[in-house]
Amino acid sequence: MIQGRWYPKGSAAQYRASLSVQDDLFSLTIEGKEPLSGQANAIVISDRIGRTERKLTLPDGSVFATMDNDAVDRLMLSQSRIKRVINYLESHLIWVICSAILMVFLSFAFVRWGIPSATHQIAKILPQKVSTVIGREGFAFMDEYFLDDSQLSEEKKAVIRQRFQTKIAPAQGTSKVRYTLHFRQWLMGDISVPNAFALPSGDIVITDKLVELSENANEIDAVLLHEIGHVVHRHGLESLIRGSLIAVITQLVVGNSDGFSDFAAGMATGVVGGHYSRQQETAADLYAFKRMLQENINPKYFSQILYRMDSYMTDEMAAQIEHEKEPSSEEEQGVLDYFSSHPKTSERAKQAAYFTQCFEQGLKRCNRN
Amino acid sequence: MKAFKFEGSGLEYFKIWIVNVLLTIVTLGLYYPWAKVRSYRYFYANSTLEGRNFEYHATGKQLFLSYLIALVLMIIFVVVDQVFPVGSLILIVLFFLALPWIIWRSLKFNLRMSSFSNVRFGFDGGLGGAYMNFMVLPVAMMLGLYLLILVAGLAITSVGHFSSGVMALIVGLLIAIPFVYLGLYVSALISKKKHNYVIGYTRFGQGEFVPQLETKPLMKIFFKTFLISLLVFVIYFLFVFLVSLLLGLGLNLSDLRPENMQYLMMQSGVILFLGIVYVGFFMVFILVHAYFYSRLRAYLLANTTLDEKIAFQSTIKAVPYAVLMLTNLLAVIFTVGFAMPWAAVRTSRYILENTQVDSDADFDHYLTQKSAQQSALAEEIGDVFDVDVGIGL
Repeated sequence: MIQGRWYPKGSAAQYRASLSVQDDLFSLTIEGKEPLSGQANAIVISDRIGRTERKLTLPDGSVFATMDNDAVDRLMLSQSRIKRVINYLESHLIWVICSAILMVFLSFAFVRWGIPSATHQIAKILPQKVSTVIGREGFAFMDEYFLDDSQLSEEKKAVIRQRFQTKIAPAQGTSKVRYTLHFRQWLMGDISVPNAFALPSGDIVITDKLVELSENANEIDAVLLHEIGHVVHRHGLESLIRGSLIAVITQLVVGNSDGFSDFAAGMATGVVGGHYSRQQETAADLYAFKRMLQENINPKYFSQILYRMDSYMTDEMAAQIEHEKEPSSEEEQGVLDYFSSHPKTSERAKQAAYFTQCFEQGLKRCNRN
Repeated sequence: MKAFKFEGSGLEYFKIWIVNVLLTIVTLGLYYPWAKVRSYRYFYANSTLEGRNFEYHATGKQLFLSYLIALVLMIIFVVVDQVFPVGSLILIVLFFLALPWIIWRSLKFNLRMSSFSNVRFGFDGGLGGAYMNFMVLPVAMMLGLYLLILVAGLAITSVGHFSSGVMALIVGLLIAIPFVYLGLYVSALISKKKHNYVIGYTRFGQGEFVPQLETKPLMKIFFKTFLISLLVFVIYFLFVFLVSLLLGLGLNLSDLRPENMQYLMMQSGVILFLGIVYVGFFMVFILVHAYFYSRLRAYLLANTTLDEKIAFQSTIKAVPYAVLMLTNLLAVIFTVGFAMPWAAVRTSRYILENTQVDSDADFDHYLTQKSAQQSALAEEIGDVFDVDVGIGL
């Protein structure tokens, strides 16, 4: 006998009732009503969820509700295995703890290996054409909103371009990418920003300030080789794919967002994104150092220009704050991620120093990765 | 009046939640519709009023296809956003145009899938009403206000120069007053129409919910929320200023411009400072939200009846509700999310125990009404894209 309440079909009225099942037949005695009976296997039983009330829909559409979950479970012969597994997991604390640990591990593994390998696979499948289109679009966008025409003299540009095409860019035919060098000026408020960046299409942009800050051609070579490293490793495309993956996943995980889960997700995305970005920078650095050894350029030039850019930006920023200037209207925060998304300059210099040793021993290769 | 009860427990829901999350991860998200159904059913079934409870009737299978479609739309949006930022603007406009439809269909679906004491809810509002209340009126109000401010601004500047800054400030404030009043009035009016639509077309069996809302009391709620936001923000900025002095950053607030951030980030103590600023902002947001939510809910429930017979009441108070949300926030942060089930259960318990119905309410004669099959598509799109349906109850 299972005690509970009975509702006529679609009605809110409740009657005390008790259910018993014998062989294949059920019979329901209802307080103040005629009893009901019928085939037991025609009863539809809702899934068990915690200790919540169970609803049994009888063949005539009326509902018998009971809190006696265990008795109902004993009745159920036809419950599917999956549902039993889920309920078993939920009701056994040890499995819940195991689930929690497994969940932490899986999430970690997913971020550590799942996302990078999925990104890599998708990037490999996409044809170079996609990179070209994305690169052109991105470049047009940057040109429209951030970049101005270069103020450098034509002679200077010609010298750098010549060196880029003959020495720095991978030879035509060795890769599907066509490398093109562009000169632009990048103004952020009053500061002319020293920077260089690469687009997946093989367009590489170098700013006037970077050229001005450089003390010799080797320094510019080092920076350009680093940017080519990004293109060779398809970092731009990978970043886009990874960004999409993380955005979709975050959106889904945060689901019923109520402010604070957004907050947590935002922090996590920032940390995870920064991690991948620094990995890419290190990979591009490595590419640059290896090529520098081959092309007979001392890797120390890379850390020299890096330090000079760093101290220039720090000084400019400090100066700007002291002057209390009006903020200009076209500033853009995305630009400012530049440093935070990069490894510490001292770390990168350490790597450069290692390769410099090899260089000074006249080696063409250095045993690191 | 008698109050609803929530009979679930944090630990019990934690077990359900963790299994849900685990299976969702293992199936790369495909289990999500079933997970959602299980947690909805847990919360519905544990919400009771004297031996009667709610029930959620949607099944995972029913949600699955719609969920997949919504997922594909989401992926298209994200990819376009990453690759062609300009193209995503078009998608946002399209999404905005579809929004009232999404809200309308979600209301229909969710109410139809909910029952209390074996009787289904329903929603009878038309699509036209949804477009009116969720798009036409809010957009018209915004445009109208901006236009008025623009015209007034032009008029003032053309009239002449003010001899002193103080004078200009006084005139500016005087002109701001009618605009604030107008803004409050129009917001209250739109809020009234929206809730009349959402509540007024909600059905319980054959029963109809009858809202009797006025613009004036809603305006009062909006105005007080506005004042409280002002006050809280002033306190917040003073606090931030003091903290910056204490940490020896010697900053002015005007230094907190994006182009200076990079320089600031290099200083020690800045991370701590930014953390305090960030958490402080959430606290401000929570305080203002708690006030607005508790007052609006109390007003809406007090002025709504079921068939003009059964009355309701909300006794949620701003301060305890804000404390609840703040402690939830901290618990979730410091347990990296593992306190989420506990937080959800606490919130439900507090809200239900502060919701009352007439003690002599008689539900026995209510009967489920026939209704066409509802598709879950809009509901799943809304879920994936985080649309707030905004019933506010």
